[in-house]
Amino acid sequence: MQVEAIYDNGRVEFTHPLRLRHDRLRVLVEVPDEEIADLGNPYNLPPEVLARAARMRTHLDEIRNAPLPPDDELPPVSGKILERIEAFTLREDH
Amino acid sequence: MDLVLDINVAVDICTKRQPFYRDADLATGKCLEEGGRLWLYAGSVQTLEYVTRDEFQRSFLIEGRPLTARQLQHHARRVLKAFSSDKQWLAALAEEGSVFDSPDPEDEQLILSLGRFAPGTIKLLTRDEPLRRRYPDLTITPQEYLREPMQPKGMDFVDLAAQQDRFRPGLEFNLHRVLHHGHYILGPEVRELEDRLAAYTGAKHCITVASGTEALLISLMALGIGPGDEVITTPFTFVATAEVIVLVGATPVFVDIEPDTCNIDATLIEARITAKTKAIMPVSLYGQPADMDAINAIAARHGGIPVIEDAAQSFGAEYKGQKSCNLSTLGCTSFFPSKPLGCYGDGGAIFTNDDALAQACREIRVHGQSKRYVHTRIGVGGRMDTLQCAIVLAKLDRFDQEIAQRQAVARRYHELFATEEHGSTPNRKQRSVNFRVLPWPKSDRTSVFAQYSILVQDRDALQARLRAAGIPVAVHYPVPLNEQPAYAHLCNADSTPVAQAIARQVMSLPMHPDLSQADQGLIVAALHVG
Repeated sequence: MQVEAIYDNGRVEFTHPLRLRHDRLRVLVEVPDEEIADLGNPYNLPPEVLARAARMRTHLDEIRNAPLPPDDELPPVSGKILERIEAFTLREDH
Repeated sequence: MDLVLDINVAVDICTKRQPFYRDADLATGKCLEEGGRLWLYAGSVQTLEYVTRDEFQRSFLIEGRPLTARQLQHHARRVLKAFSSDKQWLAALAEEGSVFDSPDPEDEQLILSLGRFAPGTIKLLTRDEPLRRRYPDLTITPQEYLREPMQPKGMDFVDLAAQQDRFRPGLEFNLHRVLHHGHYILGPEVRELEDRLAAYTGAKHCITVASGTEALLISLMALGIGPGDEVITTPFTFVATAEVIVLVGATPVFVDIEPDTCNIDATLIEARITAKTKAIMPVSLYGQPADMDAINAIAARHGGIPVIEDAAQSFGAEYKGQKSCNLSTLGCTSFFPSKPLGCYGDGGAIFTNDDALAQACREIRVHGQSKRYVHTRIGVGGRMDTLQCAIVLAKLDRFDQEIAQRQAVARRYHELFATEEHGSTPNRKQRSVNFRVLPWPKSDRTSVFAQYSILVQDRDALQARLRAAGIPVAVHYPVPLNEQPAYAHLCNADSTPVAQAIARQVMSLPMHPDLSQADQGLIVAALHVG
């Protein structure tokens, strides 16, 4: 399930209290991109590497952020594909 | 070092998954900047699509704008298409099929696929910790990879790997097709290649043979040249040109070369023609055709002496609008791997418009056989095998584009050298120019620049300095054939002074379609004495 939480100086707190079975567990937290501070160059990479990585990112982001066509303008997803998606879902290995 | 991208890393990049995508971005950028290649395993495509789709579904849900199944599929596929466009597809091979005993068949397949590469030249980039622990030598995490020191990008004299990256899908398809039909000798690809090469050159016949040397040998045999005959040729060439003349029992007669093209000097040929002259064999050196009209005219004036163009380096070049290999009685080329159109072994071809010569060449390459077990002439085992023909076929569609790239690289060298020679900045004035550029090909012909050669002083020292700077160089050719021990008795070296002088100075620089401007800049700068 997804729940809302507030990050505050290194601590994440749920906005609505939840009773959990364990005292300690792994959760995935979605952090908005714009909140990520520039980490600089932690690996001391040459500027050519940084520039190349940035170019590749810009290109992929352009595709990623392009507007999506309305559902009814897209070809249908076949029953066979949907079955495969379900089968993959069962694997939960990602 | 190359990297195979595990699904988790590929999905990090495609979906911009926090906090992993930054290191994955940098790792892939570093790999490419080092001259490595990024591979995606073709057998993982379905999993890649599904996991990407699932990750997008999750992130769009969190953003509060859920997508429909159609939109998700569309979005995942367009991102994957863009992402994979600059990656190499690593084919799934039969060896990687039976992984059913493995606790994780997909990981097993990925690990098995790495076995095709030389040890230490590739790793699987993954965030999968158990996989990383199980195969510590074959896997690496993005963070570990980023902490490793940068490997300097090497410079190649001829970059066949970059070329293969462009052809790999067609190449693998063609090779598998041959493996499946099993006609390894004179299979359908042999005829297909011969038809396409004949059409490309405009020659009536193309006969593929086992090598460029075999093409020359078979041509001489087809012309019936033998003991007591003389063949006029250049001393400034690869040894095969003269070797085949001696092999058939004839005598090579060496004629000096032009200082600008390094090809045989047509104005000197006529003086060397005797009653024994049975062929003239010019070489279209470095990719630029010799002066074939002048040579053909001399041959015609002397009773129609056959002319064999040794076009081992010039396939694809033009002379007065006609293709090299279709400029004389016979044209011979080579598909040695480093040639502009190369296979992955030995191969060659003969071209002619003469039906009888074509028939003779076809018979000679199969032991002089006119029909099964009927040997009407002496021949050789000189066929080009089907697999090699399939490789050339895969490269042929893009050949003209590669020639254009080679010419652009050569033009850039020429312009950079012109700048260096005539530049007026103080630094340049202080430099001593220790090389001379050969003139651009003559206006009536083109070159495919099999080599880009210049003339240098103190070649040994310069070669050592360039090699120490990581710049590979070669010499084509250091000794004229009439100074080689096996041929020296045929012609005094002093009678070909131009060849003698050029052989002492010539040096070839890296040349291939993918040579970058940056590398060319380094080469030109390194040529100057510090």
